[in-house]
Amino acid sequence: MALVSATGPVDAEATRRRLPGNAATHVALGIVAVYVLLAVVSPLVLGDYISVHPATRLKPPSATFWFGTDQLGRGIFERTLVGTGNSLLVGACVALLATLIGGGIGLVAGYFRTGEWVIMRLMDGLMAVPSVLLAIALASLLGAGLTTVIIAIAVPEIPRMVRLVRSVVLALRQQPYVLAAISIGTRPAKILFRHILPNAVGALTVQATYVCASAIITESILSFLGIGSTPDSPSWGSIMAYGRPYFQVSPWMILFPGVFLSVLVLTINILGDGLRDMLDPRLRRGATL
Amino acid sequence: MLRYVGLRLLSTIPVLAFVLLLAFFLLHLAPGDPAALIAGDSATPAQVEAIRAQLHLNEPLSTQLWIWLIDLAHFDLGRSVFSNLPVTQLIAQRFEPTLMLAISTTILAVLLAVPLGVIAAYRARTGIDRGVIVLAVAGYSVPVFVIGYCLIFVFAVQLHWLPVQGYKPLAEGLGGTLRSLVLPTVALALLYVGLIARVTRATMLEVLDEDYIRTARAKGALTLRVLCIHALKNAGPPIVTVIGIGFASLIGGVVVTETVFNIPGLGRLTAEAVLRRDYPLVQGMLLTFAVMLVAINLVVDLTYPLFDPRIRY
Amino acid sequence: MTAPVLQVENLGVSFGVEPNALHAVREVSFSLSAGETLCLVGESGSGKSVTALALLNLLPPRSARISASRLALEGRSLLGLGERELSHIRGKAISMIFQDPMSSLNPALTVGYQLAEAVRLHGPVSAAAARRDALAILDKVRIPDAARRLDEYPHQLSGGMRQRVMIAMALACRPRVLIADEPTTALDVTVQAQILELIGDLKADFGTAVLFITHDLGVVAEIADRVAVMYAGRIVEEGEVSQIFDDPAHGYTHGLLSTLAVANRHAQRLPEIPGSTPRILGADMGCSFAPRCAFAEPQCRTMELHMAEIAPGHVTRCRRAAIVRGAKSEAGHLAHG
Repeated sequence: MALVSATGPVDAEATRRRLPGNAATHVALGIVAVYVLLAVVSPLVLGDYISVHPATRLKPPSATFWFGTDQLGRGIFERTLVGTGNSLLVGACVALLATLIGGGIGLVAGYFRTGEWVIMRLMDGLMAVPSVLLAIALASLLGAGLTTVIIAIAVPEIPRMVRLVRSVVLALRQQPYVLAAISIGTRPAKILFRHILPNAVGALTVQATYVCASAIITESILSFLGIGSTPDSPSWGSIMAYGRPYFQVSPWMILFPGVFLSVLVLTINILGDGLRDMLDPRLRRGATL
Repeated sequence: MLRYVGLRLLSTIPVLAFVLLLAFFLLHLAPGDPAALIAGDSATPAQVEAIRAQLHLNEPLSTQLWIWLIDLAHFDLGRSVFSNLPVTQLIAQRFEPTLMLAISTTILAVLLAVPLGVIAAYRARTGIDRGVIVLAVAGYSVPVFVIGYCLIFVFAVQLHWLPVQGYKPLAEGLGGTLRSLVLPTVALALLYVGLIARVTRATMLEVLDEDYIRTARAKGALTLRVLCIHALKNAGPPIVTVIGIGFASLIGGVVVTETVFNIPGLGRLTAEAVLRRDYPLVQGMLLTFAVMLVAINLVVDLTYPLFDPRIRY
Repeated sequence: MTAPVLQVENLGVSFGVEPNALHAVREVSFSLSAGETLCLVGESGSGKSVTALALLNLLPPRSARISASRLALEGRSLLGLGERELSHIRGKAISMIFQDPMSSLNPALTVGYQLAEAVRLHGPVSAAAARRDALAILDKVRIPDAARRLDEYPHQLSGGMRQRVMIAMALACRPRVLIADEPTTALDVTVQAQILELIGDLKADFGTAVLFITHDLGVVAEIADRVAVMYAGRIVEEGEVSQIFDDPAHGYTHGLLSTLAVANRHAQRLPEIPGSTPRILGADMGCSFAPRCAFAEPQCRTMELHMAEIAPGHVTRCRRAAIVRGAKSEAGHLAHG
């Protein structure tokens, strides 16, 4: 109709100008970069964050202890900053692991359709268990340690990744250029890597970003509940877990790591939204009412 | 309708079968001797042996599975290794607070999220819209225990408006129950609000572009009527779907929320069971939550025809 | 001629912000008398539907800008009315029916609800009375077994039935003006004829003025009293139906009628005027149709345009009207006869 064709380009242009996406995405990228920098630098430059100082226990924030101290007299500032690395590492590893495994299974199920029914029912089953619950159960059984935590968090994230990749592959598989490639006898591996994978990368990247954010939350939940964390390397969740009994008198033990955690997760989610807007233009639209 | 419910129930069988097997094999996934794992490092060999006997760990795996399934068919989930009480009894005891928390959270979340999503879609690309989007993302970005402690600190510790922690059972009066639920409900609902508001906004954006919205305006219907009657009803299915999907996050959130607020519900029970490696109890909790989740999503499916008469069972 | 029910002068609609604003409708003026049918004809993209939506301010408020020197219903200006005041006009004094009856009816509400709503929005009517009214209107638009239809949903009706429901809804409050935006385009030919007949009968019954928007000259020949031809957002020619068909006085009208003649001769091939509808950005000089016009001379593209009356009630924007009128057109006779 006249209306649609007439408004199209103008609207798109206005949208580009008005959308917060790009600016917000750049800010988000900047914040993530700061976190990465903190994670790398703080263990090297900050003082001792492990040894115990009974004389300075539960001190409120001051010039000496910027974020206050915990029940053992250790600085929350140091422990929070050093904890950054733990969260980022878990987030990145889980995102990578879930993307590789989930993406691989999804590709196979969607492209070769081998064992698709069984795979998808398995994924349905995995999704029927609330992910935090499954992660908790796995982490407790597999024992403490970073690797354990990463695996325990990654497993519940896999089904969503499989479903996403499978649906993308199923759609791409019907595209004329893929059908053409199949019809002239191109090897499946070549079709997968030449035609399908490059087109699925966008959706995978967006999903991986969301998985990263959710993994960081789940890790903090696990260490907050006291599952899977090791006492030596501080994690935000465990700093807060130590603060639980004291939070009425020493709220800073929970406040500061909580703020660091929330800002990081929020930033990564905003980054994911920005990526999605960039990679999926269908979502840019406005109401007419 | 009945036929559809029957078919839909059948389709849950593979899912539930998988959950059963997962729950059963979970212990065997762990490296080492399961009995020793459950008993812990300080257990005597006799204690380890007692656990081995209780869980039939000496039998072949197939026999163990068979015994477990037979018991399950009699609603017997075994006994807690820690308290030696039947798992079903423990779960029944702890059911009320969690049920109340889940209901109040869902109600609050829907009441907040749907209007927010509708307003955001109606005022798309304005400051209001962006505000709602940021709030929604923040809702599921800030971990529930961070929000929980902030709420406790402000409203209970500083202002003394509400109890700090704990749960008052319904038997002691609804007022007390509601008071004890306010803060945990708000903390837990924010996550849910984010999810629902986002989907509501996206769906409403699509619906508001439809021709029948223009028809309603051409008939002389005012904005509120157009939004609430003509648009919202059509936006129903995706919204109830996300309520069902979000229920999984809600259960995860319950485990944390009940720990923060010291509520003796299923979430706390789960956390305790995991920390004590009370394996039969963990199994029971996994099954209970999975069944709840499957049931919720079945109910969600059955509500679709209420919104869209084209869907028929 | 009676006093006009609807008067439109210098209506303009633009989308977006200057200097990139897109002028979808420019300098559109027409008036409509009671019981009269005016057909607005043009290709898609010519601004017909935008004109119709602009009359009731149904365009997206944040992107569309509507201007007019006069827009009046029975002498009362509609310009500057707020949403609430306009809502009393919409559906009561001026109703609309749309192209696609499937997407224009709400799939989640029953036919009865949507009809009764049209009644209840414009008067304190009880639910039971509104339902009785709804039933009466359904009978009026000749829907068989109307009582049962009330409790059905739009997807349970056929395309023709749905359009009848749309018409019933539009006529529920006996409007002074009915705007029909390509109401038969989505229907098949036999149903199309029935719907046209229905609109004609109801117009006679209620004395409603009809603004009928279409790109189908066959439909125009059947129902129009007068015809306004739109091109690139402007009305380029307007006159009695016989004047337009027998004596076209604009290059574009001539082209349209020729394609119709071609279509009648070689039914398999879709007729078209070579070239495509221009995008209308900013103010321009000259005739927008000149690049595609068979009668154009270089000055057509540069000289300013004016509406000129060439016969009583027959106006055109064409500089070359005399030459166009001289060219023999067999199309008019074909379509009319």
